[in-house]
Amino acid sequence: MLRCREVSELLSRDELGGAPRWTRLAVKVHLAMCRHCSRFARQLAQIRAAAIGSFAQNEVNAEFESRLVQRLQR
Amino acid sequence: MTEAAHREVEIVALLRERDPSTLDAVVREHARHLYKMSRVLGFNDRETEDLVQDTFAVFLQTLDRFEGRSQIRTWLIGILYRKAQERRREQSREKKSDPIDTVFESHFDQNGRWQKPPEDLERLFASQEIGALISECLGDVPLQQREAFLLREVEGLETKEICKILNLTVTHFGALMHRARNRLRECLAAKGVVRR
Repeated sequence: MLRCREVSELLSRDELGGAPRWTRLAVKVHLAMCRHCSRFARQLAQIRAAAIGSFAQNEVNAEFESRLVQRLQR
Repeated sequence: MTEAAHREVEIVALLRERDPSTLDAVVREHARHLYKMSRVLGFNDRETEDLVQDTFAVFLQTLDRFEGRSQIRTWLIGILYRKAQERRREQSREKKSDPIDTVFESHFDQNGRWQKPPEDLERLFASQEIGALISECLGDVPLQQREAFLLREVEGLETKEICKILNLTVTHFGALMHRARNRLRECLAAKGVVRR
């Protein structure tokens, strides 16, 4: 039986993709039964979405690309 | 080869001939993204302009080695990260122990069950400020962890590619991701709890 600690560490280490099939199944079953671990898993996904959103919002100086092209063509 | 890969091989062929409009198009497609990456990695605007310029310069010099096996974007990011590492002389190495490990462990009892379950942060994640908060928290994540996190979560690269770019083993990458994500979670939880 997988415990909460192992499940959340497997999730945060991003190791599930390379894990054996039975481990992936055990995690799935655990998540269906454990609200704390499923909240933890949901928060990792929310952190990813927030990071992508915040990255897209960052401003870049408008003339930067033109300057760069000019310098590269020299 | 996929259609997109074919297109990229064609673009590279035009770049080898120094076709000005292709160069312009490639810069416009990728430079902003590299710029943002560099800023998140902690370089200021001035350093970032230099770093992105260096990245494109190396890219143009190494076009002969581009075989269409990776995408132009991934190729450029690989160069950017190597250049960034060269620039950071005192690059701190990942430590064997990290205080976040103890924080993570403290959530669980001896039987591996939650004794301090994750806080309810739904309202925080739904709020307008989440972008600003995460960017603030990301600033406090040690550099190597931040690099691994960005390549996985924002770039969506495969573990294999990330390990190649950052010169890591898969185990080391796992440790960096674990620490980065738990640091971000704790940082956001602290902000979420304060807001309540």
